[in-house]
Amino acid sequence: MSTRKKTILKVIILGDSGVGKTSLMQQFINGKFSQQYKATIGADFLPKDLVIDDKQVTMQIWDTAGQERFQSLGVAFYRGSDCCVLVYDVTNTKSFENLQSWRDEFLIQANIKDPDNFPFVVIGNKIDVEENKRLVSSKKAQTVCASLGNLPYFETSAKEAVNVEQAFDVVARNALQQEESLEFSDDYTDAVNIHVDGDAYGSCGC
Amino acid sequence: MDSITIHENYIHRGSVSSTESTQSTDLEHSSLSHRKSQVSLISNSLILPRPPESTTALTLASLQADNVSIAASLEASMNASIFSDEDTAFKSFPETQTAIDLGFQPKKADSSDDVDEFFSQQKHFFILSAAGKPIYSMHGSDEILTVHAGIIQTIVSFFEFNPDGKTEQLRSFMAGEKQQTRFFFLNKSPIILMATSSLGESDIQLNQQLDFLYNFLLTILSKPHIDRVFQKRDNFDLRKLLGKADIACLDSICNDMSSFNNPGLVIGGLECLKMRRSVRRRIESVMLANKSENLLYGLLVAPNGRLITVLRPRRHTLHTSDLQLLFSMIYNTNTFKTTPIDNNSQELAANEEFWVPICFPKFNPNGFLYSFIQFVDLKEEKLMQLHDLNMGILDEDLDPDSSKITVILVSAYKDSFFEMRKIANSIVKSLKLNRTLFRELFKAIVGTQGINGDTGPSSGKVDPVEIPAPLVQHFVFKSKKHTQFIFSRLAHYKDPNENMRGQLMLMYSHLHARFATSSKTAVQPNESDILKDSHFINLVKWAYLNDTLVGLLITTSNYELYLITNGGIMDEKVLLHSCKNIIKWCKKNQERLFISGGAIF
Repeated sequence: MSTRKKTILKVIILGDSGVGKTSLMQQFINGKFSQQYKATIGADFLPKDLVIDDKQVTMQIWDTAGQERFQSLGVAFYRGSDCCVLVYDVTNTKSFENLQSWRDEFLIQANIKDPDNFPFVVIGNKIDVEENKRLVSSKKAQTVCASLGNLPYFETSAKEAVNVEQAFDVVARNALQQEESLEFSDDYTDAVNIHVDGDAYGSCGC
Repeated sequence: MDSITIHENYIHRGSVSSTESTQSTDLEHSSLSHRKSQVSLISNSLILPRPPESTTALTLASLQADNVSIAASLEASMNASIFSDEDTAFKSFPETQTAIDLGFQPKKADSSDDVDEFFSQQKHFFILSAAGKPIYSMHGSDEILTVHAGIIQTIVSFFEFNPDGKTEQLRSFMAGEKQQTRFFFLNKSPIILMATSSLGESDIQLNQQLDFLYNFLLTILSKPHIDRVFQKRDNFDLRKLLGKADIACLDSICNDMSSFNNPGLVIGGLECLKMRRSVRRRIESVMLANKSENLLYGLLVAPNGRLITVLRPRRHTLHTSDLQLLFSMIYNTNTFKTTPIDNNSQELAANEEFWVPICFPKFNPNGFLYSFIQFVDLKEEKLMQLHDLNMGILDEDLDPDSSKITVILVSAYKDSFFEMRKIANSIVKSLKLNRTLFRELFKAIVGTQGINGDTGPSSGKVDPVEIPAPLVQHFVFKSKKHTQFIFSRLAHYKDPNENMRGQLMLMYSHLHARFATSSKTAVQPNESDILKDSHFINLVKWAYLNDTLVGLLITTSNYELYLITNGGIMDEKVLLHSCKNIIKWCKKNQERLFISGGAIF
């Protein structure tokens, strides 16, 4: 293995079933879109290399299943994320209303220590649809995002590749900031002093 | 031997060799299917309750009815040659070739982004964080690892956080073509490890290997350090704490485990330098005479991590796996090596002194001990002259590290470098200037002294021929009491090279795996004393190209004997008599072969 590591960013995508999480990710990583709907089972993992302000990063994107029956895996998936992307479908009011519960669920399950500063990015997907099918207005979405703590908000079309790059650029930046926030103070010196006079150690060997 | 053919399972050559070019693979395959019955693993396993005076029948474990006759014929020969004291006369056998080849081609660690190559590997090791962030993989690029870290984490979590609310720990499963790849998981949250193997290894063996890798992380970081960084933040990238040398060491540990090139890990013990007890005693008294207050452990080590002796406090012993980790660090990385001006290859730096913090996980995973490490070359012209040693060997082109002993002094105090250095210097000085000790060390490590000025094979290793043990090409004898073993030469004074050592150990690993799994079936109710005295004999026959190798493992409560014979000659009587000779010889010489206690203060 090479030794100079790129920073790894764990990014998790949450949202109701069918809002286009997998399509967004496919568009972002492969520049492709498929009309066919295929439910994600558990989670999919795709890596994407980016350069952000001269810094090489690898995004490890966790595309989770929106379906209820996979929710028990939440704890496992959410743990250790650097950014959480909340996706809804602009033609589906319910998926928009559920954003807050996805966010709350994430904060609880992921055991986030500083919830006010954890980076979320909200994406309203499927803006390629005809105007009359759109049920959640930009204005309404922006208001809600502001009330949830000024979350960055993007409207995208995974199908027509609108705004996807831009949204994920902000995801990556905010994730990187989060990853680097608590720069670890390396402290070897406070390793436990070993008292060799005790006899607490087992014996074995020669 | 043809009568002993119990086809329990087939090992196709594809599972022991690595990838070939596609063209030749097809050819190999067709020729293989012709000789399918030949390319097979033939084995049986017997449990022998120790007969009072050599005449009881065998108890058979896991043998089918139609194999009983074979077992009976083995029984006859066992009784005749292992458990009785009658000496049968030896027939003389022609000297067989000493090439040991199972067709096994181990692969080294890589960071290739070729996915096909990644999936064709027979062995993998992965380390990741509980959040699914990659830490290390033996094969594959970062990109491949990033994906697989997520998948592994999900599989592990699926059992840990069951949809129905239950919590389970996933240990292992078989998958892949013909269900012959074993996946093994070790969840040491916040660290998760996984290994895959298509080399016939058992759960126990893979568990031990992952445990070794995990302990290596503890060795360089210590348990509290790892726990603390993940407590602060689940998303921590542990690779930030691993330096170049650490990754190189992980690579080389994985290489060794994949090529079976670390006998101590397979056998479960430490190898010792064979030497006279009185000499070892004198070396121990030199060490004792020089010890000072802050010294915890002292070790003198011959090339390839063979122990010469240990210095230790009465209350503390050294744990085998701690020393295996230490030796992996010292001998497997370039941390302690230097490149001489006139040479391209690296060698252990004989004129430097090292001071290294190391956590010994079995001793105490919570903190560091400090090790002073120094290498001393015995092939020093002035000293050889002083002690009248044959100078001819200086002209021979030998591995420069094959004549260097290692002095390791361990202290719990990080500011005791100068104190340790002083001890090391005076121990080294005493060993160099004492004529008897220097000559004995030289003979055991570098070479014995011939009459006409030449240098013979070193005396610190055993050759099956000198026992004598006809038909035996190689053996390993482990004393369970000492958790130490000796690793013989190949018959006729040939030292196995790295590749051959791997082939030998693959065979021994198979024997060990079969022993570990079969022994469970061998437990009999209310017969604890039988279990204690029972003999377990396990035989594996391995055909490759025109060669047939037979590996044999005998275990009792006191020892394990692994041996290998080749050339297709398999006279049971002679072979079993050889076993008996080796066992007798090792028992008789055990004070030369093993360190009991060491220098205790």
